[in-house]
Amino acid sequence: MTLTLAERVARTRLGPPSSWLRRNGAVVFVYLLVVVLYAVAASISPAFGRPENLAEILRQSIALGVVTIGQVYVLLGGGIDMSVGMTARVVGLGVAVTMGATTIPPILVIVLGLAVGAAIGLLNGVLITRIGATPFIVTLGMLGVLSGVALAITDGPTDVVPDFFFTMYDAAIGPVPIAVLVFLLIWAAAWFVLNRTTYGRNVYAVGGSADVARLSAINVHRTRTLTYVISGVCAAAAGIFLLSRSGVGDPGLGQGLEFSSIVAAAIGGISLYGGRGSIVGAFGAVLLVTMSSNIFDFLHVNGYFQQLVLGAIVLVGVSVYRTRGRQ
Amino acid sequence: MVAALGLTGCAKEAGQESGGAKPEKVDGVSADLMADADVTVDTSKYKKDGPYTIAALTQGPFNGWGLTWDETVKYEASQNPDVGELLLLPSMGDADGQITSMENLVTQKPDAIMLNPQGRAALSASVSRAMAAGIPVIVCGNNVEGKKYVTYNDVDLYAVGYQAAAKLAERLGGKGNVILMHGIAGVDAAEAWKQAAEDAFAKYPDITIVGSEYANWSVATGKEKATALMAANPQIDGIWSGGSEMATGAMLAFDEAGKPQPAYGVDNPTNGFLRLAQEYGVEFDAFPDPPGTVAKACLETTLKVLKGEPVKKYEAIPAEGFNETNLDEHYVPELSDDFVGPLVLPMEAYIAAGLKRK
Repeated sequence: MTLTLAERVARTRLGPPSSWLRRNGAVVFVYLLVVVLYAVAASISPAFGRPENLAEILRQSIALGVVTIGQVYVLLGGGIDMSVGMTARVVGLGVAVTMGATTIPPILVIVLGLAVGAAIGLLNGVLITRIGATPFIVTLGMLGVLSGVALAITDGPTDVVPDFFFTMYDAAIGPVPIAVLVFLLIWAAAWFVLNRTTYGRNVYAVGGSADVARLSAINVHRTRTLTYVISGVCAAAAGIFLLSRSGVGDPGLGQGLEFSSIVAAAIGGISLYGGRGSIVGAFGAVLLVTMSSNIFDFLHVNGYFQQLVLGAIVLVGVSVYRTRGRQ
Repeated sequence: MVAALGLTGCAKEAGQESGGAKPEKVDGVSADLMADADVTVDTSKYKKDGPYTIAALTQGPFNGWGLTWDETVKYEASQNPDVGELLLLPSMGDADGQITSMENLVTQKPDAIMLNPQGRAALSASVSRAMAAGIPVIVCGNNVEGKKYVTYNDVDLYAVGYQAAAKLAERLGGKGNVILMHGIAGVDAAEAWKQAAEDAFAKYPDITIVGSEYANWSVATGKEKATALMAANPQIDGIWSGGSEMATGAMLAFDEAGKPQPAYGVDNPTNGFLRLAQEYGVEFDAFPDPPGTVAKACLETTLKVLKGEPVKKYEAIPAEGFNETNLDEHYVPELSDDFVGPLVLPMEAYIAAGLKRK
């Protein structure tokens, strides 16, 4: 068979189909699961496939999705962030209390909340890179500190937030919530930065091998610290979104987001050792986790089984990736 | 965050918008709930023909309280021809998961939602959204902020906590050293009971609170905390426990240490607490937060709403206290320590649910 020059170039860039599949096995696996789950659920419960339910699934995936973006950056850079759930809680409660006690415009309070998230991430990053402490221990310690801070802010429900926050959650264009459109834009931006900018390539390089990255004149400390700042901002944004969802500052806000985001990243094929994985896969994993929760509710499956099935997906996913890795 | 950011110059004046203000407590009861008990809700707009599809969002059977609740709802629904389908959605204590379930139910459109909320604040907007979608929400077993529901069915949690503390103070003659043990920090019931106990003991100036600890509604953590508090305070005359699991742990700790048992004031007495109280001959006052009674009443109220019958904004469930003198009327030896009384179903239903004492 004779190939044209353009076809030869394309083959050289993409490699043969089997090679492409091996490199993107995780992404294919996740999206295949999403499609299969969707088809099965829609055949059992016709209401599941209605456009308003699909929009609802996307809206329900926002908090986990935004936190997972930050977690993906940190994991790709060779770290881990256990403090994201508590960062979301502290910022959510802080914003709620500030809104209840002051006349500061909501938009300014939101910006301040995001800045607090960035500061928490910066502190994590500095402690990890400058002192050389283990990321897991530092961020776990930060989780403990922030847990106390959250209780100091309030140990009970706060005042109801202004209507502006409800609008953030409820506003829609037709059946599509505006929050979902913003969410998709954030994911697109996160993909662009990771895949089309020098910083994104540096994150992969630092996570793959810090020593090699350093020899390549990459500022390892700055790159890693910035991943934690991104994670802090994402967690803060999730906390503010969760506040708009409940309308009241809740001391239980953000519970378990650290584990859910790590699980989503792992299912999506992000290596927990850094440097490998695709944010596209992580997005699919967020959809998978959210959709499975939605399906279980539609099919009235006990919560125990939800946890069991999610755990099984993680185990199957990790096994598949390890097998492919060895091949 | 306000203080940290130095924004006190923008402090809001009193009286400005504060929709989630803490409910008022007067003389050991929730004054706002007492007022709601006199408010009649017209439910004619929810009236429809049965049999009905009813969604029950529950805590989940991860402890005896939740298991007793779920089994009561399932049994009562199965016996009632007006209930066509029961969609039981246990959240396993996860408020965020429960919000998600509420959102999913708005899409599924059941005839009514029975909600045992896992977060007083967290579920507030979800209740509003379901009501706005035309689905009546009946809240039971914990309240939610904002009162956007049709009706709330429960004991007065604050009053239960207050009375347990006040009875303990009276039993001690208004003086002595007491320790307080609470559930999970930040959780609605734990904080309501904590506030109630502190308010009650504040009326007895000769009672000293020598320790106040969260022990996560766990027997093991309660035992651990009681052991530490015993070491720090040689004289402990009374223990108040917001949820009897911690008091159960404390009884075990005192027994192991070979010390005489103090007097106890507890909320939500489990069968396990009653068994040990009987075995050790403990003096106590207990005030129930009865899952079976509340769950049964909640289903009955839900059916009333769907039939268009008027209900009260707050349907009060009586919570009569008891002590060691009538313990036998409340302890059920056939059932396990996890069971929380009183019995509202036939014994076989509890045994089938796995609550038989082994």
